[in-house]
Amino acid sequence: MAEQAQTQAALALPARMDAPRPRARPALLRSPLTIAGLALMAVFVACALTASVLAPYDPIKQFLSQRLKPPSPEHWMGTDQLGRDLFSRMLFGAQISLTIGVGVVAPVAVFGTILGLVAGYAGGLLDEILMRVTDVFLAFPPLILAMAIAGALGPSLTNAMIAIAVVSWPVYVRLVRGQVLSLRQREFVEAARAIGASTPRILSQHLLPNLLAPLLVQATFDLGGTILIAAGLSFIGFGAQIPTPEWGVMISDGRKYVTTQPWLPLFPGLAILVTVAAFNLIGDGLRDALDPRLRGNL
Amino acid sequence: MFTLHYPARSRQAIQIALVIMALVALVACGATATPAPTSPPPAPTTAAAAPTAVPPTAVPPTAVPPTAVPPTPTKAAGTAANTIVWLKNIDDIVSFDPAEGYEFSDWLGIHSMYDTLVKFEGADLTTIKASLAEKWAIKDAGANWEITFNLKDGVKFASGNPFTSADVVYSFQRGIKLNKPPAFLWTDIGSLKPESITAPDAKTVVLTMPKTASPLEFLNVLTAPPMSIVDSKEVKAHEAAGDMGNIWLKDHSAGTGPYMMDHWKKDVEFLLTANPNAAVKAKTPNILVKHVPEGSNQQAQLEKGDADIANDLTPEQIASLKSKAGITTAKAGNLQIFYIGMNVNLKPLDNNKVREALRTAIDYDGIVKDLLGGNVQKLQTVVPIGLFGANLDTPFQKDVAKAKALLKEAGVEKGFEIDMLTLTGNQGLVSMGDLAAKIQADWAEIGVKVNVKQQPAAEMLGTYRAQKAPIVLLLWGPDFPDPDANGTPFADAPLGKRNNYDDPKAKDLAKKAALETDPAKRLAAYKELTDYLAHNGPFAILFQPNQLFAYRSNVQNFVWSPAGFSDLWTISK
Amino acid sequence: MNFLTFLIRRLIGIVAVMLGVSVITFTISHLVPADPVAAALGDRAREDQVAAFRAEYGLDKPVVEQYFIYMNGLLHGDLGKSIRTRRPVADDLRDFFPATFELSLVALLVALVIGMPTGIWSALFRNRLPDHLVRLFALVGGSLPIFWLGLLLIGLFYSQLGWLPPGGRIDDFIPPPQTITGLFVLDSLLTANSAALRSSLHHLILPAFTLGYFSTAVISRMMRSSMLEVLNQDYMRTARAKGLLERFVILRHGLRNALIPTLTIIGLTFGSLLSGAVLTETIFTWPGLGRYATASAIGLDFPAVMGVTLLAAIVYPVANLIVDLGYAWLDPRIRNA
Repeated sequence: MAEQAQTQAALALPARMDAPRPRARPALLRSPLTIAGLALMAVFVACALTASVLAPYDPIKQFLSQRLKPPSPEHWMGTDQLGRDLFSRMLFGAQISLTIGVGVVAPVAVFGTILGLVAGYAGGLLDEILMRVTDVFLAFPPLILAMAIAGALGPSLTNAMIAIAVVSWPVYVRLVRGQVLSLRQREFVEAARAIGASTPRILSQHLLPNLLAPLLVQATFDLGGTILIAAGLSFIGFGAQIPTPEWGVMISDGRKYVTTQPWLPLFPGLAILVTVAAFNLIGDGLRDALDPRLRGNL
Repeated sequence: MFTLHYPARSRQAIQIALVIMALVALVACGATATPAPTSPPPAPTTAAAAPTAVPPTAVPPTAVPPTAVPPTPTKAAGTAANTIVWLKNIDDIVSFDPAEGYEFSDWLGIHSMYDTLVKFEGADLTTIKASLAEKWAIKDAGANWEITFNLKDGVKFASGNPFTSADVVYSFQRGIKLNKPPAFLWTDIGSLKPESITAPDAKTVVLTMPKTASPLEFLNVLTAPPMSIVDSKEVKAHEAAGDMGNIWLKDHSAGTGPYMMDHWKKDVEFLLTANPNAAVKAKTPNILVKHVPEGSNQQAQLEKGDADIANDLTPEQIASLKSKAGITTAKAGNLQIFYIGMNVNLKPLDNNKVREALRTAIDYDGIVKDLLGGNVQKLQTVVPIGLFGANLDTPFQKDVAKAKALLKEAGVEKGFEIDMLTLTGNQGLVSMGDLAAKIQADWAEIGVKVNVKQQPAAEMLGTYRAQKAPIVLLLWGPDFPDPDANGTPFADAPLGKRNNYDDPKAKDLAKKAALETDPAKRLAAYKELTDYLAHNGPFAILFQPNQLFAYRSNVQNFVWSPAGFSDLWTISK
Repeated sequence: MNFLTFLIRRLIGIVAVMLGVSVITFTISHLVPADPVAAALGDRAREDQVAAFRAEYGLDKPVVEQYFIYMNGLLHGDLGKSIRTRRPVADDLRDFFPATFELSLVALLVALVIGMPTGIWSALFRNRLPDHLVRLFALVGGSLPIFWLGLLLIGLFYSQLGWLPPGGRIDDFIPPPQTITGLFVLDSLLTANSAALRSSLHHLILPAFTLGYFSTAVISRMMRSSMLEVLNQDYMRTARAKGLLERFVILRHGLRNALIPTLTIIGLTFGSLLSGAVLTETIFTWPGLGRYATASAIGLDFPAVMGVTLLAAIVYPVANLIVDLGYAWLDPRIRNA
């Protein structure tokens, strides 16, 4: 499932972005699909940020006498096996998914970018070693490696995030290194070098800004991919601990009730679908906008 | 990649794709067909199955020539009409060797493939009945107890070999020598050594037991599946490298019971077929137990009529099935106890007032009636309903004020924060996560903040065993139907010890109760022990579950023993 | 550099990667803070039993030594013994891998058969209704939690409609085909066993679609964008200008060129299929490697975890090597690059 991000961005993102890219924003808002994606993401982020205000109930407060009630005006999405309000749990679930997504993707992107810059710019033995290491990590099917790590560390949300981070960083190294290799030959880098700019300065002032576009696209896809893989880990028992209202755990708990109280697994599944779809739509839109040659194609 | 276009060559691309797929397939097949050279020769596990496998009736011929040895001895279970299909989570199966298998699903199979010297019948766990031994007598021989068994005549093993005292001696000595998980039953509970088991003649067996062990208790032990009698001639014929036939017996059988092992495929299924030489004939030719861990799948397959019995359903599923035509639901006894263990080495749990406060803050009725829908029984002492000496007193009920007062007396009125370890998933009908969340909410009311850590059994037991778990939420099932199977574990080892509970009085009471030979005095001794532990031990006993089943209404004589298995041979449809 | 050198270099690369993989898997499986022995021996194990068990699994030796013992065994085809199943891991893998391999192959087939035509269709009707429908289909496929999809499909096609079985590889009362490859469909074909063939295909439909949907989405999107790109190429315009029938043009030029990037996808997809198999097999009680991996990870069964991850990690580089060989054969420029 994390392959998603890898395949979509790594394959479909051509390694030939030109340096300046001024028209990104208007282009991004031209596609109705992208606007839909942005709107969905806005809803998701809004739910996540305001969960504690919006939620009609405490997401972990139990009302055993009210357990397994179908959706009703009091409980919009019904109640779960402990009589907790599903709607409130869904809202807090958005918060947790956002935390997982950002908490994994942000550090991984930074770490991967640094290594990629180093590898691409330094070249030589260091580059070779780093590339072989990424080869090793990319050889694992992501969920299997993440599961092995999460299993060894013990089930918890933090450990699941660590596990996902371990399987996702190599993509960024590859991406950034590829970009650096093509960019470093360009005139503006050559020029900077010619006037005697230091290596860190060239990296941070000249290369990094030009890397932001592909990085942003990759990170957007990865946000969705991370939420999916985290849900998968939770589903098989390596994720969030009770009473955390994590969507994957809610599906996993709810599957016992799929025939009797189908709303329990239904709503969290839909929430994951919509959220991940939003990130995918935005990723597509960004890519189109940032690469005019492909605009409208994808 | 987008820049690569080679129009002239692209027809080849399609061909290559096809070739590649074929190649990949071939590679895989090669890998499967040639067994990797694994270190110890895996015995004749697969080879032996083929010739002995009796093709069940009325299935299309699979064209398996008798000489061929298929790598996986799987075959279908006859027909729907002559097979009971039982859906169950059977990923716990380790071995069907009675001297090794110590999991619930192991015992489900072993119980119907083997007989023991004495037995309990059906769901009654208090009256010992004759089985392979027709008579037995306990004699006080001074320094020792001597239990003499007169064996039944004319009993045959599935192989046709006659059953004699040599088989009993072999089976028990084998259990001790193999030193697998059940070995403690002979060595610790019975204080037996290999030479304590003797056979004066072909129809008599004598067990010589030191007085540190209880003969009454050991008779109860003798009903448990590890005490099954195996066919010594047959097993010896399958010995490999001094393993006493252990490898072979994992997925074969050599017993006198109504069924024989046809095959077991780990995490897939096991199939039992009727033993033609058995004294008690099986009502149904085949029993197929299938690994279907998902309760929702079990329910769906049962409703469709693709399965006959479903084992792991939630109370909600049982409730929804009650109204369905063609399906019967059943509730059977279960000797398990759900408990909370508190590590008395940790502050403030070292103070019994704190433990008493935690016991008093739990909403027992809410758990039993609401959370578990009345499918479990209220129980607050360590000897459950169904065992001799069961103590049905319920001294605790939720009383927040009293619990808070106790905390205040103990000097921790502001509460405290602590970790509670429990298992993932379901244990029977109980979702451990939901139960933990309920306890967490109850204790939050008296200011105790619990961080629940759900862990796989391997991880959790490791910590618990090392006496490092702060609080555990777990379950315990007696190893054999005797109150001492709970008395000593809770008062002393292993459970008391794991919670660092070292109380000479509790240990002493448990020992006395176990060794008491007068039933009335034994009853009183267990009452004293259980009452004492309820208020002074490191435990809070939560409830005793039931075992829930749903089966097709044409299934008859389905009986479940609270000891954790079923007499499969009585079931018919 | 000739073709042989290319191949040898790649093979050495794979061996190097596998060595790295073995170090990583070994490290992970020995990170375990808890002791797998506890669960394996049950509640009543005595100290001597625990010690014997630890010795049997080499747990009493230093970790580095354990690694070399493991690698030495590996070179001799010995992957150690599973703590959970108490069987040689190699035997377990041999039993469970064919089921997963069959499921993944069929899922890949599903992905190609659905993904390629829908992608082409989408490109041909760019920005019209068929295009929107296909893109929606692909979007959902790329965003669904597949375990949830599995639950829904079982609910619909088994519980409600009763058309398809809810899990397992073959009907309870149909004997599996004689084992030749371990792939039920192939074995049934080889032994001309039509009952087993029908039943195993029937059992494959839901899990293969569940597993393949994600790859279907990827391939469909890939196919669409490749087609669009090809349709805009000069030679396509030329071809069209020459007055050939448009349909003919598309088939002759477009499809072929668009296939090339799709070939790459197949290699990449195999890795994601193995990931997905973990979840798909859990839902469909499919007796394969994914479920074995999950149970092993839960049981802290480190020899089994290592065996599975090693096997899983070799699939992806090998699949990619095969794809690259395909390219190299196609085009000398890559071979020499």
